[in-house]
Amino acid sequence: MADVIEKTSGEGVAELTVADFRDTAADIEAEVGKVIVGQENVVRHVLIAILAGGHTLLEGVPGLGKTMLVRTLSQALHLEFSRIQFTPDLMPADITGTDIMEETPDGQRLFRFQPGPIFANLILADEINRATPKTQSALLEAMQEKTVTVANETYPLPAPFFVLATQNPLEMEGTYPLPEAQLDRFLFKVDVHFPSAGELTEIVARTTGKEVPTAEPAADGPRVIAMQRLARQVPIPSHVGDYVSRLVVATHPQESPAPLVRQYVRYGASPRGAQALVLGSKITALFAGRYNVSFDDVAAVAPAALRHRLILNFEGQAEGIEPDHIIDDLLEHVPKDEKGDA
Amino acid sequence: MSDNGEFEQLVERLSRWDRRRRWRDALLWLPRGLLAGLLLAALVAAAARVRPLLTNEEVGYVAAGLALAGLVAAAGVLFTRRRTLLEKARFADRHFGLQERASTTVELNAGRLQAPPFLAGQQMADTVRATSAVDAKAGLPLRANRQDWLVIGLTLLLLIAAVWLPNPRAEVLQHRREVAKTIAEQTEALETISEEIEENEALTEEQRDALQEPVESALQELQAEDLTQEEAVAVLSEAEAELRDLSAANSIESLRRQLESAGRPLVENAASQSLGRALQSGNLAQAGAAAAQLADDLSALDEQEAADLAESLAETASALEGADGELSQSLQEAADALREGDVAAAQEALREASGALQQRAQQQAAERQAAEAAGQLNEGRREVAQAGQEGGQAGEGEQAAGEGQGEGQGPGGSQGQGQGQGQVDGAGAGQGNSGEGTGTGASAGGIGGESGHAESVYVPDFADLSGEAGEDVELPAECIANPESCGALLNETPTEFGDETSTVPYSQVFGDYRDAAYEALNDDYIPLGMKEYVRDYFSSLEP
Repeated sequence: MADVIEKTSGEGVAELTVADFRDTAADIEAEVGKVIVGQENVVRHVLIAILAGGHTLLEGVPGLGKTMLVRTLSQALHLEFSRIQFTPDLMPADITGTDIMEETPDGQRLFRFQPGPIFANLILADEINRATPKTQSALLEAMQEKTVTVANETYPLPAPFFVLATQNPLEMEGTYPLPEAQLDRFLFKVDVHFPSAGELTEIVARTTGKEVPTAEPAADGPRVIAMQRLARQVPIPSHVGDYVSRLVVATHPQESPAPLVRQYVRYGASPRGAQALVLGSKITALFAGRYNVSFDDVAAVAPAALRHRLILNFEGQAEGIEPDHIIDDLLEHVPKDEKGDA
Repeated sequence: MSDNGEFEQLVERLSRWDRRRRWRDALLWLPRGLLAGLLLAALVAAAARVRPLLTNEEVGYVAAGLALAGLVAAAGVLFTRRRTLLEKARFADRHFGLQERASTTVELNAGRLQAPPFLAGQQMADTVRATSAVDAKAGLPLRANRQDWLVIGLTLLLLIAAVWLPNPRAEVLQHRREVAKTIAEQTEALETISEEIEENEALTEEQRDALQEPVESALQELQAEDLTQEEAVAVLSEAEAELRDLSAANSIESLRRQLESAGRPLVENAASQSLGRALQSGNLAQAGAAAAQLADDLSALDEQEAADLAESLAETASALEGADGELSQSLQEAADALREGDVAAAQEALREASGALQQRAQQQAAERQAAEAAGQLNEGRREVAQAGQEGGQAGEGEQAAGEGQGEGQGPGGSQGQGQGQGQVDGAGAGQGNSGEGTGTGASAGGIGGESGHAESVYVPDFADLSGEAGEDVELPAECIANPESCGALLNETPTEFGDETSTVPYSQVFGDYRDAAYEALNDDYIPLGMKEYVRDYFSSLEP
């Protein structure tokens, strides 16, 4: 039996075994771990999102190492990194690039497309909610189609392409909250929490010493693509697939078995939520050394995949209900078996 | 190991675990099925002690049946259900924490999922590895639930007690069943009576309808649900009374009594001998036919024979004058016509007499049919009234005969004290002495034999005046058919209200009093054993 995935001709994708996947993923996490103290869950979810080919929204207060995490990941993945600091005066062309007029040696004047910072493998959209909706929407096409259109000309973005956006949940003044349509384009939303005291001590020790640790490349673009392809082939049992569907349907308050959903949710997840759950579960299964998706894998990625897809009603917002609590309630009340046979 | 070999190994393990699961479930659910049946039986047993539903023996059978049904139902669910391989795999995943490995393998093998061969192979190998580490004995322990067995034991004890201890409602239950059985028997008897009436060709259509009406009405009422004993007795009594009324209405008793003497002159005459004999024998239908025949034969008589026949007919007409005016008149007209030599007129008169006789014959048939049916209803009513008395006491009262004391009131107005020995199957008679009068007392036997206790109950003397002092009055037959014609013989005794002599016939008022009494028996609380005395009392008073 060929213990490999098929070679993709023309793209230089290396032959990859399941063991290679696990080893590579472990290496990436290890390299990131050299720089990033703690935040294992954040690193794991960001890596899962990357290997799933999705984008990640990181939410946390400033100074928690979000930018450092993304930069380190780009180093570990050996991908071209680009950081865009979103501000209110940032224009779409500042992201996508624009046509500039150039004069050729023979005196002719031509428009030449000057690519913007989005033309990189790994984009850090820092404080994305500070840009205007117009600028935010410039990301939409890039994130979904992985192409950029300027002056009726469409330019493909390099593969792999990931957007890792950050936003600060506290300073909401002068910000433009992301619309639901744009939020839905993020595979995961990952909450970055303040490190523990021990982690903080370690952070200080690492960053104030003589040598600042750096991550070494553990993979590259083709390898990441190969890992993505392998992950998509992991089988998911039909009843687990059904469970994912029931879970997503249950995020809608009309027929949800979860009381918190019925009480606090105005609108639930879209089909992209189910895709995020399945893709994330497949990669989680591979991380766990399994060759199939389990219910536990679904539960492990459910908060990251669903929390930004639940739109709370007024009551939920007024009471400060955390979407993670609602997701816990969902996982508790949605039966794993359609017949309810536990 | 090849993929097929690994898969077969997995299938074998899944099947083995499924069998073990069945036995584990059997140990858990068979006792619960049994318990469900026993709890249901306990409810039935409790209900049988509150309401008269089942005897102890029947409770035992019901308990055994329900327990068996619970067991069979549980076993049926447990052992008849066939699980697919995927269901077995999902159970194994869930129960042994296999993280959906087994079900994925089964689905991949069945082609329901797609994966590259190398990935599918690794997945299967991973599944086989994971399943080989499963400790099925620890994961599916074969042990019973002690709490279930404890509850089963307690419920069994309750049921044994319910079957063994006497049921206070048994007597009532037995009584009800016997009453219901007797009512059913009487319903059948009524149906038979109805058929007999229908098949009786001697009756006219009107007579048949008149006889059927009370019978059908009684049938309908007897078939009603929740009919009490008293209601059944009342229904039968009412039907019986109506039939007796019909019998009385069709009575030709006065005619029948005169027939023997009236027929004698005709017997002595050769021409009318057959008519005379038929009249003497009371066979009115035959007499009618003989009269018609005689009418036909008149023309063959000579003068002397006609004169003799006229004489005989005149004597017979004279004898029947008080009993049947119409017949008497016809015969007299025939005699007169013969004397005058008018054969045609004589024939006409004899044919009228024949018609009258045929009509009386039909009346006679209706009377007999009504009397017979009334007799049967009377017997049936008594049976219904007595239903459950003997059986109930005989069944439960074997332990001791009751002793009782009774008080009676003698005819002379004095009271007597009585003592009696109550037998298990009825009331004991008591005798008592009083100052001057003779008292009679009755004591009821210990009902149900609970303690041999008997209560004194007043039982009226049977008003049998036939052999006692008093004047026998023999009423002429016509007094029955036509009481008003008998004058002073039937003249009512003047009441204390003076000259008022207005009375209502006893047979008319009796039904009202009896119905009121039976209604009171139903509505008021009267000890069951005592009800029969009330019924007997009214039965003895029936006209």
